[in-house]
Amino acid sequence: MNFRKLSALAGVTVLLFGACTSNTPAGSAAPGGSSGAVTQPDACKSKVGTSTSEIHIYSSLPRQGTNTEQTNTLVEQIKVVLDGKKIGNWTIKYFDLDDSSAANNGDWDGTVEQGNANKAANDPDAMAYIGTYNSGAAKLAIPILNAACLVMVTPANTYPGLTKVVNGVTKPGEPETYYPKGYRNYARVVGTDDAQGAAGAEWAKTLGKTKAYVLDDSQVYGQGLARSFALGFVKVGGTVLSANGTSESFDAKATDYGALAQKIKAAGPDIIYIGSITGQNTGKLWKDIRSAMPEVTIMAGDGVYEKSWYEGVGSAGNGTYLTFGAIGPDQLTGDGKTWYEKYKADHGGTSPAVYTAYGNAAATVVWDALNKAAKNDRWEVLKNVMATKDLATVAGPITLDANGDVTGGGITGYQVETSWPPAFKELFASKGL
Amino acid sequence: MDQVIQTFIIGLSNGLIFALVALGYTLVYGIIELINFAHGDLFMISSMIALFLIATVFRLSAATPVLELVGVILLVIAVTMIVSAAINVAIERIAYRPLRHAPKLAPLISAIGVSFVLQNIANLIAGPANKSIDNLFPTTNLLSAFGITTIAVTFQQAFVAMVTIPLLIALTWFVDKTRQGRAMRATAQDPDTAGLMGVDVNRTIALTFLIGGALAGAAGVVQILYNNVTVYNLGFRFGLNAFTSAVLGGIGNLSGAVVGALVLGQINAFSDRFLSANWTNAIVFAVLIAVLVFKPTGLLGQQLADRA
Repeated sequence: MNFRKLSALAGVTVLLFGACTSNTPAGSAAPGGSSGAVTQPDACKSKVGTSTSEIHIYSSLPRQGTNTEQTNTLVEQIKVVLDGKKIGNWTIKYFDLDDSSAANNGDWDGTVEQGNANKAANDPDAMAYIGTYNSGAAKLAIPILNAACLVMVTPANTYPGLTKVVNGVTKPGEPETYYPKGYRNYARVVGTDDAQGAAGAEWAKTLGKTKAYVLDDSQVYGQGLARSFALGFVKVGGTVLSANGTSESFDAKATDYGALAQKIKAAGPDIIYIGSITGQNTGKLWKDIRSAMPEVTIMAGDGVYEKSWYEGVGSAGNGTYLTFGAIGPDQLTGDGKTWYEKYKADHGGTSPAVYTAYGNAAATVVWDALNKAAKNDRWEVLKNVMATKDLATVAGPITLDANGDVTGGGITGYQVETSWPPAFKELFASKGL
Repeated sequence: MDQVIQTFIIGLSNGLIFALVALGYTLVYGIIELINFAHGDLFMISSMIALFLIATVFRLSAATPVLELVGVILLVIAVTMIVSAAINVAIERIAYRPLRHAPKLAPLISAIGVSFVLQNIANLIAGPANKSIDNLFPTTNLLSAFGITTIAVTFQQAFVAMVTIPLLIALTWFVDKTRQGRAMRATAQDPDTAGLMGVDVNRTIALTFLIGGALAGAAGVVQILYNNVTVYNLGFRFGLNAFTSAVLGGIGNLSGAVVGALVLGQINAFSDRFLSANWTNAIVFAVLIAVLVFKPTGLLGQQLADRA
């Protein structure tokens, strides 16, 4: 075997991969998003189901790896709201699709997600697609479903660029690039990361922090959240020490972050903000940062708000401030509080995961639209989802704006003390940057 | 300057762990010209075994008395090395030996298969999430006793050196000075002739896997006590670095694997510290390409078997 050639090939492959996954500089954003659909687009003509007895609802979520802690509960809630229910003569049949792969360490896989979206798009009886869990996966699914007039409702995507322009956070061409047919087919029942980042920045300020080092995992969610925090932190008078005054990406496949931690320490931050999901080697990252800077304050977003993250970081996670981009399950009121207590009672005292209520809410939005449409017509279902207004859900009343974003809401702040789950600390109004 | 020295120390610690794993790759390649893709995963399994012994069986913590801590860690190293060596010998017997005379692609595919099997076993038993332990060593700076406070050498870093360096010396002595080591070198050079000269080739190859497995076992213990975290896909991360180290130093060359690993550890650390962590892989492979273009046999050439 010729090792020179083999190694050169491996090297070139990794170089190309690195180039493909490197940061894209934040440039000027595209004009504001198009408004919700009013007239029936050509893509939505003749999109009526063929079955006289079944309506199909799909979900696409990562059903392996660390994500199952959240997604098992999401699927359970979708089933509770939709599976087997009747709409006129039709019975709802629910399909639980997995968009993760073992090859991707149990995290979402773009090829699998596209396959799922195509599967739903090509099923004439599919009337809604619930998902995705990861914003990066949504980028791939939305255009496929847009061409097929299939509405998508996410319980968890928080990257702003999927629905709107946020200067300094979203990329040029977003969000229009995801809607090739010129109309919106995507809605979400959770807030966006511009609001979560801004709330984190506001919280950091009230904690007396003035110098932040901001890291991200290079993914759509992590980068969007970290950049939102960086922008928000500058707005409240703080200084961002990481590269170019915005977030700096870490390599999730690295074996060690000791040198990176030394670099951060030398910059002298009093807070480190990390935009990442759990599966991006966060256990090692937290440990190395804590080892180099035992006293520094660390804050992160809801991508790591899960028990598996804490199991990975151990005591290095103690003291970490965590934000959740909506109202946390233990802070829900009214029907939400009743649902929370019942959930715990039904699950042997176990609290729901942070997104569980939003899985229920996403399914409720679909259920409401199906009832209003009262037929198996994709356009009618889509139109009613996008027109959702003051809908009572366990996550609170939901009204969607023209972009498909939920209006109002809040951001919840927690802190990990010495064990899991973290303790509630603050509730912030959901404000953009 | 302090930052440069501190970064060097971090790179040295990581490089030493890479070296232990890289030796497993280079030993096997030197003997049977097989890139044993499962070796990184064997290292991961070892770190899981060590974590299980430390956290569940012996329940060690930072509060464990020093003598007990040292004794149990030595025991954990010994047990993990033995188990890992046994697994590696079994892998050789089941997955590679039946393919000894098959086309070279067959054992390569078999190695990839074993890699997946090991990963899936770990995933099945330990789950997909990171598994961690708290640091068992004191967090004091060893250099502070000498009045140096701007540069830190931790007990963890000292532990890496204390385990790794003696093992590297012992391996070099074994291969260079013992009868079995001579048999390994003879088999690497020409297995048929070595067989005619009375060397039991199958036994020698099994011995090579035994030693490689034991080194992966030691590396697994060092890894969990140094990094305090492991996960089922850890083998890919470390395996890529270790394999690259072996190629950089000269595949089949024991000293080359160590030198390659130390160089790689430094490139990783200095890139993370002074450039961008996101570009470290690209820089590592750019250096590898540059070295191989100008010195195709790696930094120290291919000594153990001159036929790569």
